[in-house]
Amino acid sequence: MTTIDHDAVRQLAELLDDTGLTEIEYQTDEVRIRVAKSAPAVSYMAAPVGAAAPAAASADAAGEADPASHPGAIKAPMVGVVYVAPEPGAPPFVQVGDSISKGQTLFLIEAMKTFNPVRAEVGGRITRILVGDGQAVEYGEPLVIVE
Amino acid sequence: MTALQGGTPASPLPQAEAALPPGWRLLCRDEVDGTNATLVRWAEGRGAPFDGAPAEGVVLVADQQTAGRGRQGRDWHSPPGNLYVSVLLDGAAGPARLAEVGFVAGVALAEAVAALMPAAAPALKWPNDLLLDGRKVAGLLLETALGTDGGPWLVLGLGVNLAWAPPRGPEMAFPPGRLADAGPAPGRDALLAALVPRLAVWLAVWRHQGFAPIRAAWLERAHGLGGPIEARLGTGKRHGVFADIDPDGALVLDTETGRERLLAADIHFPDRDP
Repeated sequence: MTTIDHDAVRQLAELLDDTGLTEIEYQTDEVRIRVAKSAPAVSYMAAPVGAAAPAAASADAAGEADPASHPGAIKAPMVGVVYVAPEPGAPPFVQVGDSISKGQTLFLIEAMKTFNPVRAEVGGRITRILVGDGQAVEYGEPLVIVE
Repeated sequence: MTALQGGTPASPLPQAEAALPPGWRLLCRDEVDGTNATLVRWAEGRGAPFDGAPAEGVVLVADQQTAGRGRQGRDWHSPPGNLYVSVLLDGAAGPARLAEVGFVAGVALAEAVAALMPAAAPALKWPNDLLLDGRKVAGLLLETALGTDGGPWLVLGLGVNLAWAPPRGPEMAFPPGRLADAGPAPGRDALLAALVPRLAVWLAVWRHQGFAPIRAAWLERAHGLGGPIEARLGTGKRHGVFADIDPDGALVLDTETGRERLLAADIHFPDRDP
């Protein structure tokens, strides 16, 4: 078979819907086309109507979406433990409301005595800090929101 | 250039110089704030005593440090007589893997000490302290830096007690010791000459074969494996059995409530602690 016969597939799909069947196979000397829809696929099609609405509502209620998908989220470049200050008892690198410039150090992340400064990828104002001192973070976990 | 910034040249270390791998260079200074802090500045294009871009294998030794540091900003007392050295390494492996270099360095240092002191049995305390006869004789600290061209660097710092050890502090899991406590000890020059080539070899192994052979060599010298430990984290303490280290070096702790992975902690050994 060199090309897909779209018309044939579409006709078979319509036949599925009309007949309520879940599977049709059509064969000629040259091709065999099998069109099927499984029960899970049907329920998946139906699910978003009911499932998406509450998720959107709760995000709206909290005034935010998932912080990880926020365009101003700066994420952990490694697994490790976050420090908000250069050493215990010292003032934090940054606080909510601070204006920061690109390249500025925001946190340290330690993994096994390797200390890695997390730097601002962009300048802006810090609107949220999502981690606390001494907290373990996973790779890619959002640390701070910059807007 | 003031002494605090980059130090002034100090007496050379000829054995170490002769043992350098190709392309590496050794710089000796009388006094710096910290060898790590100095190399971080040099890597970031501030005050480097050499022309052009920094390169892997810059080895900086200071006779003494005025502001030597350990983990959590702790002071690392650094009077003359001990080895204070930092090495600039390519950080291209990325932050997620660079912590593995601490184990590379720990293995290299343990091997160097074992080669020079055949009667000693150096052990490694997670993640990379060196123990000799139940005393901590060396510590490591690694820091990443960003070159002016955006290239990542890793600064590996080692402090080894040769002639002098500090008094025991309240947070120390082991009493500090000196190599000299365990027998005839090498000087700075001989130790560095033994260390640097081993470091280069283990780095090459790590880059070509990954962390697995490093992990295996580390586990052979691991202190306290299979025994009870107390892990002191910034957020509290965890108790359990030191079961293993993960394929990324994390300490695997078996607790009463399950298995945990630790990435940053001070490890204490209740059996030994007062």
